[in-house]
Amino acid sequence: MRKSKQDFWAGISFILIGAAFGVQYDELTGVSRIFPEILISIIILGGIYFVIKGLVQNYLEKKLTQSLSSSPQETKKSDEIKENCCVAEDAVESISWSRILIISIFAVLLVFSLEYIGFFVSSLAFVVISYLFLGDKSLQRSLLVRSLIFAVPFIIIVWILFVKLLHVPTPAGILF
Amino acid sequence: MNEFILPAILNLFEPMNFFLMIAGLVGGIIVGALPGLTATMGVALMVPITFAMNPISGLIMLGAIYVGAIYGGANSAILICTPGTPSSVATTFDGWPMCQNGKADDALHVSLISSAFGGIIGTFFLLFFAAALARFALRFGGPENFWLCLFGLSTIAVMSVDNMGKGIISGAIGILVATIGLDPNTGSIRFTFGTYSLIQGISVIPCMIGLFSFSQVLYLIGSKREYIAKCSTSSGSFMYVTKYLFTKCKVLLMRSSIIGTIVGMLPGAGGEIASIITYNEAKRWDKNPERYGKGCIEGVAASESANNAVIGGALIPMLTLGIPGSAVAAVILGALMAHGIQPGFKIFTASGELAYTFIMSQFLVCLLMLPVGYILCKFMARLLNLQLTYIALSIVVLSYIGAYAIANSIIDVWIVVIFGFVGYFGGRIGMDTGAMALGVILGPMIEENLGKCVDLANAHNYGIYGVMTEGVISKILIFALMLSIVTPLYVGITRGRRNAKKGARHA
Amino acid sequence: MVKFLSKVCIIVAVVTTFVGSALAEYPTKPINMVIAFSAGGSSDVQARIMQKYWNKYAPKPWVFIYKPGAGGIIGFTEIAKARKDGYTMGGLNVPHIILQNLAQNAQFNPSDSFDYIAQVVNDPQCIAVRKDSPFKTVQEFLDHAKVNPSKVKVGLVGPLSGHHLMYLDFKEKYPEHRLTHVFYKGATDQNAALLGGEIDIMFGNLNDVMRSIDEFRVLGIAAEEKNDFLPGTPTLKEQGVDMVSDIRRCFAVPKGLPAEDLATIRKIFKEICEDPEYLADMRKSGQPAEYMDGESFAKYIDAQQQASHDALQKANLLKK
Repeated sequence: MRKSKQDFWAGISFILIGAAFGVQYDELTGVSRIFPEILISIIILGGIYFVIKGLVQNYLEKKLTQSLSSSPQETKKSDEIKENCCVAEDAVESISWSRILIISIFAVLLVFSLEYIGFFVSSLAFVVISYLFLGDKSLQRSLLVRSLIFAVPFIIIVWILFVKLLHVPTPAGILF
Repeated sequence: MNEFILPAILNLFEPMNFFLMIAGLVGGIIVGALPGLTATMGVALMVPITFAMNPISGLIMLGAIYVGAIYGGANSAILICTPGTPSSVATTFDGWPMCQNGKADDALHVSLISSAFGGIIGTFFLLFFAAALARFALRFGGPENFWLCLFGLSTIAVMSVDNMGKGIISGAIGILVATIGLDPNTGSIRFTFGTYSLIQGISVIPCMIGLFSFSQVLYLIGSKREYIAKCSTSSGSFMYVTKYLFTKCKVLLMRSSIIGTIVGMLPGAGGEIASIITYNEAKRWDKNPERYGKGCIEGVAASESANNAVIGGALIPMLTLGIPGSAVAAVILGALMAHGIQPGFKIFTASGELAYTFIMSQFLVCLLMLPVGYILCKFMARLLNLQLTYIALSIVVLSYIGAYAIANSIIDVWIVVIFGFVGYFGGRIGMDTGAMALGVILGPMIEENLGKCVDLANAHNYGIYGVMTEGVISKILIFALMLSIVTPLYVGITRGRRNAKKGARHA
Repeated sequence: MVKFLSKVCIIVAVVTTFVGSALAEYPTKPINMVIAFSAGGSSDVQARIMQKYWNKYAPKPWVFIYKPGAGGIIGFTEIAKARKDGYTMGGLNVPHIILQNLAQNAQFNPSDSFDYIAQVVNDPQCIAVRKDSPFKTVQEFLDHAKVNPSKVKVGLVGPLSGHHLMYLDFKEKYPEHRLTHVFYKGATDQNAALLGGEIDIMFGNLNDVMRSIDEFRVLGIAAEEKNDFLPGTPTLKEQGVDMVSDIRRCFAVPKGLPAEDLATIRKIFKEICEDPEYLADMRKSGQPAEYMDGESFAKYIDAQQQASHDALQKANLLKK
């Protein structure tokens, strides 16, 4: 993401975060108010600063590329300026947003099911199902088989380690 | 003291104790390496087992687990960029880039040797200077701790010279998040957004697990890579790293270990603060600070030696005064008291055999860590051969159970997920997750100590100004704080001037 | 015919198992023990000692569940809301549960949410100073405080704790003796502060003071009688200061347990608390043991609630 875009979105997020906390602001009284007050002010002010900075830089960049595209001698200078104002795209690795979406959804579902279904069953389901979606489809053995080969021993090792050795209570729901 | 040292050393070589040391080390390293399990938890869970043993053996085992776990966190920090324990956060800064550059085994060996070195230095101070240092640690009261925490926060400015604004705001967000729950000074409830369960606040460890481990999962899955990194084990790695560390990094190792010991001595400040401060100090005083963050040995060495030196430091006030210097030390103290052993200066005379055996065992454990850790390193590095998807999914499961295990609260698991998203998307817009973590850790301490200063001001002639600037330590810390804020600004300006000169030359 | 008979056998077997397990003596499976503080703390240490002896008298062991946070509120709430089947119990602290209910909108009420099994610890507050302090008796401290208003710094764990209550009591009884109070997060910090000289005096728990007893001098104990741990130390009452303040630890279950099961647990706890080996272990770890049976303790709590309510109201700290 270009630095100007980064700054812009950072600014927006800061303002949103400050506002989210600010909503609960009225419940605070007296001494306990001071600290959060200072912090929320810093965050929102900073957010506004970055939004403005991002917009201004974006505008400058656009103007620069417009004017420079018309004069070839200036291209060297424009490269230098571009280097300073823009962060290189994650061109080294492209990002697969679909995969991130998949794992995010499953991870959230897993938290829900921990207390209703129980830790071990839901974790097993999570690993197997996630692997079915995210695993490497080009290898020979079927996805399901490979996921089970990994998931079952893994969950068993987790069980031995946490329940048997360390006696850690695990969220227990309807199933195990 | 001298009459105890020989029997203490002999005790160490009793087969049972020796076995416990090795077992504790291995167990500790594994617990530390698993993201989600922390040293505190590992030691706490083993305490009941020590009730069946005699106190000396029990203590030796707990100490070995402590050392192993603090070192073990480096393994996952390097291999999968997820700190296995909070103390290893700073190790990810340079350890992970080293792994990505194919130098995973170098990084693992650096952390091993640095940890052993730091541990030995910490124990050295414990053995010879415990009494004097304990007295010194006591002089850190409300005002001193306040300035120290501010100093810790100011290192954020050094961490992100290019991005100071966002770094500071990330830190501010971290502190704000930490205010959720009960106000430390009045007990009133803040920012619970209507859910009663948030009254427990945001615990530091699930927050860090989320910010670093879970966000890393998102990153790894999104990267479409098949393996995390190339694992190329070069045979001369260990010797190369040893030579490098003991020629070029002597000063750095000593300084980091000493900072670690001092921070460990202070009740309330633990490994995570020590390693971040040391990392930033190493970066500040280095001739080529730009190397940091791209995979340099110095970064890993600084962080790892500090967090193991914390152990020796934390044990100093615990043994001499009954005041633990870290959360794990608190657990060990509980075990000691349950065995009926009173901490205090008497512990070195009345229970002298126990005390000195324990201290000597720490030395031996640090030395034993080298072969044990070396073998485990080989095994750990093999994990890089697993498919990325498997590793990512395992991290999720382990993070969840680890976070849950801390306080048996499903809220902690939600914190992992939420901060995972915050860490991932925040990282993409330039927020500094290290700064945020530091804010969450230090925020409550700052507010609490500020409250103490306000209370103390009622008794002071000059009111709060007097309270805050009175002691020698406060003055030194204020000076260090100002220095810490000014140096990155200075560096920024000189660099700007240098670039301008370069630009003028080209034009 | 055979098929029919085998079906009957299976049904009989299943029914017998169910009826059998219902008729079998409680407890038939391990019991969850909820500790509202972190592992290694004094609540945990005390519970571990009890566990050793519980295993002597009861058929099934405890499973420890730590639910620390918010000064104990989280754990206490957990116990109050647990299933009333007798398989979850936990440790409670008084006056914490009372104060949290009155001033922090806790989701439990000491009178309505719990059935008390037994009190196990009575940890009195004491007034302690450093060994090198000029104060040798409580009177000397009081005289000094009167002459130097707001100059004597007293350390308390709090706010809203047993120490805080004791301090409010002190302020009421000695209005001309103004002290400066400083709150600390926990006993560890409080001890460190006294040792380091940040505060001059502290109102602390006996158990916590004992952790660094070599460095301290205890001026007086806020109890009715002298305590075994410090046989030479007078009580505050003996020195003319009428203050009694303590922290009590008890074990409880959520209210509504079947009467038989409650009686069984109470009996087992009574046996443990009278076991001389248990008492010896408690002494060795510096835990001041004192047993009070469940019903008397419930009455004690009711009395305390009224007193605390008044004290907080005077200090403007009530939330309801």
